[in-house]
Amino acid sequence: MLGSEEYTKSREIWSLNCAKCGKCIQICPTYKVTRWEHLSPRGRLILSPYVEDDRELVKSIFSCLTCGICEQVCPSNVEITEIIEKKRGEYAKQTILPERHVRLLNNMVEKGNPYGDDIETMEIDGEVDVIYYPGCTSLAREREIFESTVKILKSMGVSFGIEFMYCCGSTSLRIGGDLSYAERNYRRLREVVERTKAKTLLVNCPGCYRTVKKDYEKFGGLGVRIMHITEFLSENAEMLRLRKDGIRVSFHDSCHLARHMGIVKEPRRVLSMVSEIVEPEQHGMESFCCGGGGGVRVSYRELTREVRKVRIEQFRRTNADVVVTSCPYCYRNLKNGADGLIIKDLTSFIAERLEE
Amino acid sequence: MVPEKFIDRLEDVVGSDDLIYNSRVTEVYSTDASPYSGRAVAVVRPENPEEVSEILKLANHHSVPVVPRGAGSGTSGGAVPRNAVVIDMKKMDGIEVYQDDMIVFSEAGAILHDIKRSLCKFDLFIPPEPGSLRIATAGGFVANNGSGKRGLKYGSVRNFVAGINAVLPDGKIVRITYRTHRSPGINHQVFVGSEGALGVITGIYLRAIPIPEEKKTYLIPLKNTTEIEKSLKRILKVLPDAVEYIDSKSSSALGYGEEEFIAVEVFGDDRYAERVIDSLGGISIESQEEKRFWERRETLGAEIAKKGSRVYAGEDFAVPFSRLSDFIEKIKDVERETGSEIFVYGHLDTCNLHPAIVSESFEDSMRAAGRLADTALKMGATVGEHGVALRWEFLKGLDVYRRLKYCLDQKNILNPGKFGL
Ligand SMILES: Cc1cc2nc3c(=O)[nH]c(=O)nc-3n(C[C@H](O)[C@H](O)[C@H](O)COP(=O)(O)OP(=O)(O)OC[C@H]3O[C@@H](n4cnc5c(N)ncnc54)[C@H](O)[C@@H]3O)c2cc1C
Ligand code: SF4
Ligand code: SF4
Repeated sequence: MLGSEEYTKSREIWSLNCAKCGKCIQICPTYKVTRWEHLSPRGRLILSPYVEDDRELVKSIFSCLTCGICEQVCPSNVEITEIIEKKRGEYAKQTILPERHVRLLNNMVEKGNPYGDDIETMEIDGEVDVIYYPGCTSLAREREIFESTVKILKSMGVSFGIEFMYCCGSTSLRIGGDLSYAERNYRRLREVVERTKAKTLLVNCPGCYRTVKKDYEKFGGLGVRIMHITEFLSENAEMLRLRKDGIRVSFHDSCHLARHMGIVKEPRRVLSMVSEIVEPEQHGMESFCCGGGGGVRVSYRELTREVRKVRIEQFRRTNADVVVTSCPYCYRNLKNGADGLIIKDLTSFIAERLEE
Repeated sequence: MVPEKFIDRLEDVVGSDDLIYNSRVTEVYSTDASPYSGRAVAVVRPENPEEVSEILKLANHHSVPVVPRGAGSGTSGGAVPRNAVVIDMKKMDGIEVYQDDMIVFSEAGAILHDIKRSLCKFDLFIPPEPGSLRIATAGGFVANNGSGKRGLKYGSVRNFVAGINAVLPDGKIVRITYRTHRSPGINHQVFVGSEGALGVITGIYLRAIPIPEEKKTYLIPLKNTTEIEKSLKRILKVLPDAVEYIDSKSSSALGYGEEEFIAVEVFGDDRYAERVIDSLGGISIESQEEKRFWERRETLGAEIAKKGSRVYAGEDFAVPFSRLSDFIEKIKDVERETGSEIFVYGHLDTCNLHPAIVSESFEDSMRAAGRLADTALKMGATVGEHGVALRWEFLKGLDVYRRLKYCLDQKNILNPGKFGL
């Protein structure tokens, strides 16, 4: 016999293939800033069998940034973010949600986007090579990203059109909402692809990128090459005419772009055309979240602030002149807590350096 | 049940931000890396010894059991509470290096890897290094008298504990402050290996030594397990710094082919060691390859979970040297009989093996774990480095513990239920 039976009841966590080794704990941003184990990956997995209206339990599940760094270190390949996202869906079905998440999902119902704004729609007339889908944040909140992207594409002589009718559905998916928003946009984009005969669909936002490229596969795919703007610029670098100014730039990899989608080299290739790159201690696949992901900024702002502080400090130590990112959401979040650092989205940074 | 008044007073001590009560999330603190789980009635996080003292005074007064918790990476259920209040020590994580004394003071909740990094800045290190280096706290490691590789030459962490600050179960704060490389052990050593049952460790003075200028790692293939004792005898004669065993299954999990082998670490430029290792067919691995090997060895126990349901079911056995190959053979028998896969690796220099079980289900793993424990007991094996806690069948001399426990903790409030008491 091994110990007393009283202690050895079977637990659902075993079926998730988690060995409970704890290797994922220290690396998790929400654990790092709180040191509460229930706000760590292992803690979240231990709590994953439950759907209950318990404030700390709900916080445990909904405060995950879905940054995925835990999956990077987990020796057992546990699909932690997927398990958490599925769990969020079960909470949402029972309408057990943090208060502000409810508002966000209502925004989706009422306005079709997480901001609850009336975002202008744009349609493409005729045929184009590239469909540019800017996404909600670039259009409704960080407009300079949208404008810079248009400027860059024009300067490159790309045949493109702008399409925006609906939100891609990413936010809803990441916080446990239903698939319908993603499906609606999928249908719309499919129709646009067929009508415009485009070969490429271009996005600014890594959230859109992951959703359109990965999640839309569930519906059958779009039949077009989906590219993040950094991928597109890197691949067509010879069409970019840029002024080199030799300033020191540090790049913030968005979790969705780097870890979830594997885009790491491309933004660096583009940036190195104009400046020197200095890396923060965590970068590339090991990048540290800005604190804004997974809907956490909506309901757990204090966590966002603390995680962001850690990230900002990592950049401060690089002594870079500018911190560049290529995610409208990371940009927005880092900018709000920049504490004296200059933060830029890659598109604006490049647009400012286009040869006239 | 815990009296409400007690909880209110706890809140007065640590504040509401560092107390969890009446929430499902206490389940996270009801288990560790072992297969065991109990029930935490509340979780408190003190920030200094004075708060620990207040918590223990309250617990003692109300006769409420308490369990100190580090990172919960123990595999014997040491931090598993049975209707107890969990004292989570991880907020107390300060580290101070006394470079000239080659001593590091660490608060109990500091992570071992952070201590290693702090020491590294001064070219210092502490030889016992567990596979859980990046997970475990100093307090948990010392409370378990943990070890890891390098056990033969350097012993367990006990040998590196110069002094300890602790709080006794009645709330009395004791400070046994030595910053020397030798110190009278009768007082502070009581807490080393006490598994949270005799006092709550709040800070530890640890001895560090200079990082060697050079070190080398060699891999020695074994043709079959029966060779192991003969080879080991020759290897131990050169007094290497670490000797690890990797069976064929673990070897293939690490990407080193299908052969079982012995890994040897040697500090400095030791020609004699090199000659002996060479005569045994050993090859050296260097720089990135060497780093990769030790890093992967560190997480081997978890890595094999890719292959099925992995349960850390108390797989830590110190075996008499004379029974080494015999024990490994018997493990294979258990594997055949139970249908579980068992990966064997461990610290050969102390004959401390970790047969790691992977099976289809939790129940199958536990069955295999039970069979392994029976086999080990029959062979005169005992617990090596992961603590006794809920595996008390391996503990001898219970009378001594019982008396010690009674002297220090008459109400049996500190980590009750462990060691069978
Ligand atoms: C992947 C993996 C690899 C491992 N490799 C090794 C290895 O190579 N060598 C080795 O020795 N061990 C190893 N272990 C097990 C080892 O027991 C723990 O990693 C470590 O010793 C426990 O530290 P912890 O902070 O997690 O303590 P916990 O698990 O939280 O607690 C362990 C015990 O210490 C007590 N305790 C904790 N903090 C205090 C305190 N401040 N005061 C008093 N008592 C306290 C607890 O009550 C409990 O009884 C491994 C574990 C894992 C998961
Ligand atoms: S995805 Fe990020 S925030 Fe979520 S549990 Fe993993 S490491 Fe923590
Ligand atoms: S690292 Fe993986 S196996 Fe280990 S506790 Fe975390 S999720 Fe579980």
